[in-house]
Amino acid sequence: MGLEAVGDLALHIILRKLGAEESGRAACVSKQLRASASEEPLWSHFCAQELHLSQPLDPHGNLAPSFKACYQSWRESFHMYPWSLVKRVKRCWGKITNWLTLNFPEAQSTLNKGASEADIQELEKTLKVKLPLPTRILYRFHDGQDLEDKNWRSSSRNGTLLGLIGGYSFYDRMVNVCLLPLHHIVLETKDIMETLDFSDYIVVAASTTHSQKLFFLNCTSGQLYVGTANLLLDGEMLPCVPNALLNSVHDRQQDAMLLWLEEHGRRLENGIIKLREQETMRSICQFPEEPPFCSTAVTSGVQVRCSSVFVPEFTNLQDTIQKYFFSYSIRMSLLPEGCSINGMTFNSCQLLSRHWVIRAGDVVVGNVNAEAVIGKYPLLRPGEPEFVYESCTPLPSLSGSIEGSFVFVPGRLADPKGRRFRVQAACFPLQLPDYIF
Amino acid sequence: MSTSTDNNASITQESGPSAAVQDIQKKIVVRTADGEVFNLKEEVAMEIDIIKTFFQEDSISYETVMPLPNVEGWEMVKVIEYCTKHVELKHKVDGYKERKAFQALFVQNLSTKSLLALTNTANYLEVKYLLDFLCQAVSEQIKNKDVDYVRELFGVENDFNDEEYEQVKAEAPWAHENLNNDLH
Repeated sequence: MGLEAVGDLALHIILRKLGAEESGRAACVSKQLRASASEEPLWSHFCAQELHLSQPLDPHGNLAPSFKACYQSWRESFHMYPWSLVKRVKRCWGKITNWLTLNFPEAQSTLNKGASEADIQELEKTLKVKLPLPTRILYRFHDGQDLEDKNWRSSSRNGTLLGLIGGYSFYDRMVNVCLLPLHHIVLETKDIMETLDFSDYIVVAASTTHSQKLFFLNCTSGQLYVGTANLLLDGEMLPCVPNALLNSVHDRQQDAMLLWLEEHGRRLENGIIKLREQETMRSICQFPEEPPFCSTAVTSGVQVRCSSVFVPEFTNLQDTIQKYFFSYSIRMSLLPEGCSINGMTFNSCQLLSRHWVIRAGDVVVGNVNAEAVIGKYPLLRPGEPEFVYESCTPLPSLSGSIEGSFVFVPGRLADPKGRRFRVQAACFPLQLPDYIF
Repeated sequence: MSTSTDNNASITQESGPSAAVQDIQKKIVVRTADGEVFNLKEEVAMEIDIIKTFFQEDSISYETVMPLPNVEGWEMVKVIEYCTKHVELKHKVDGYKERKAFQALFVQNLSTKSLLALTNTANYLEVKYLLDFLCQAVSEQIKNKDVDYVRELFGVENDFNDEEYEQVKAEAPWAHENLNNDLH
């Protein structure tokens, strides 16, 4: 009784459990085993399990003649990399592109197809760097974003809002970060290195808007950095990924770029960050939407949600008072039941003033009591979309908080229907994050 | 209300038939290729799909002895052992560790030849979870071993000529790394 006599079903199950590599090897044992190890249902299973493919699509997105041929094409295309890392990168991109396809297809269509080995080698030669392995594979899958290269760094305020990483806006500042394609990496890196003169750093991500926010990959250490307010003066940068994580794996099988994108994909998938619609424009918004970083409070039917985002490009590590810079987003709405005070219900209310207490650690560093919010007196009606506004504050320490309240009037300011009442804005943190986006 | 005699009668009545029922749990009889006869508890027998189908599809009486011409006696012993344990663990909430220990012991003294024979039998008898487990055991024996080792282990002939062999190997170069060669 040899292996071949156990029957086709048993052989199929054994090969499935062995996996793709072992099945490829089993094909060399004998002619019968070769036949069993070549069957389509087996390779369809491996394509699904390892590459999440339900159709035999090769790395260029074309239909292969069979699942077996499909799997082979992937292995051949990526033979120069550890296969487990290739699978990990594919999963990382998969998470992001799935979310984009569902929620933000216009951004999905800006993602370029993968760069070739030759393209990558060209960049390495031109910039005299060696890309870390995970980043190379990331670019083999998608060569950054194509954002109308004519003037993607347009002079207009808005630029484009299709950045994969997204951003925030407050007052006249708008940030939207995209992933640069290889040829832009070369241009941007050469450009900035005339001022900075750092070797081994390349610019991998940047804001598409007028505001400058640059992300640098250190090709030796694999860490990702973002420029602060002192970037051009002093080359000041902050690490974007926890150093401990970066160093936890030997033989360079993870770098900051991969960890950063994995974290971003996780946040998108879990709804920690979401799409923002401002008038007709949509973009990925970096203000957290879920606890613990987003606080929610409801008072008399008025709901207030608050969260903050760290702004590295305004952060100045050399300043003692205005060191760390944060922006915060306040979203207010009137619940469908309307505004209820002392048993009476009103179907509108209007903001009169705000009160904020800003703390660095436990120390109060700001206490604001003033009319309006960003010069506006929002009028809330039941069930209408949230009124959103953003503001900002510097902080002398890397950790603090803001809490406060708003004074509202039932009805309207011009026609109050009752006494003024206070609405709580629950405490929310200001915190230098472990991942900076 | 009943008298004491009635009480006794009712007590006897309660204990009588139920005790008898436990003794008369239905048995199914099979005969293997070597003429050995096995009495299986009904709940164990019904784990074996080929037996289940035989008796249930045509409502065949349990008095019929089912012939299993493709199964050896020793194989039947092992199958009954596994299915009995499986039924026992079905009713247990946290049987994971126990199952793992049992499985390890089950294959411990099985030669490769026997393992393969049993796999074939599990397939024939249609006991899905046993087949799955045995296939897992077989795959573990092959994992990370080179082609020659596999041939020797399973008594398989190399029917490729040199040219054919090189051709097959070239189809999947990525399959021939990560080998554990030093174990003869």
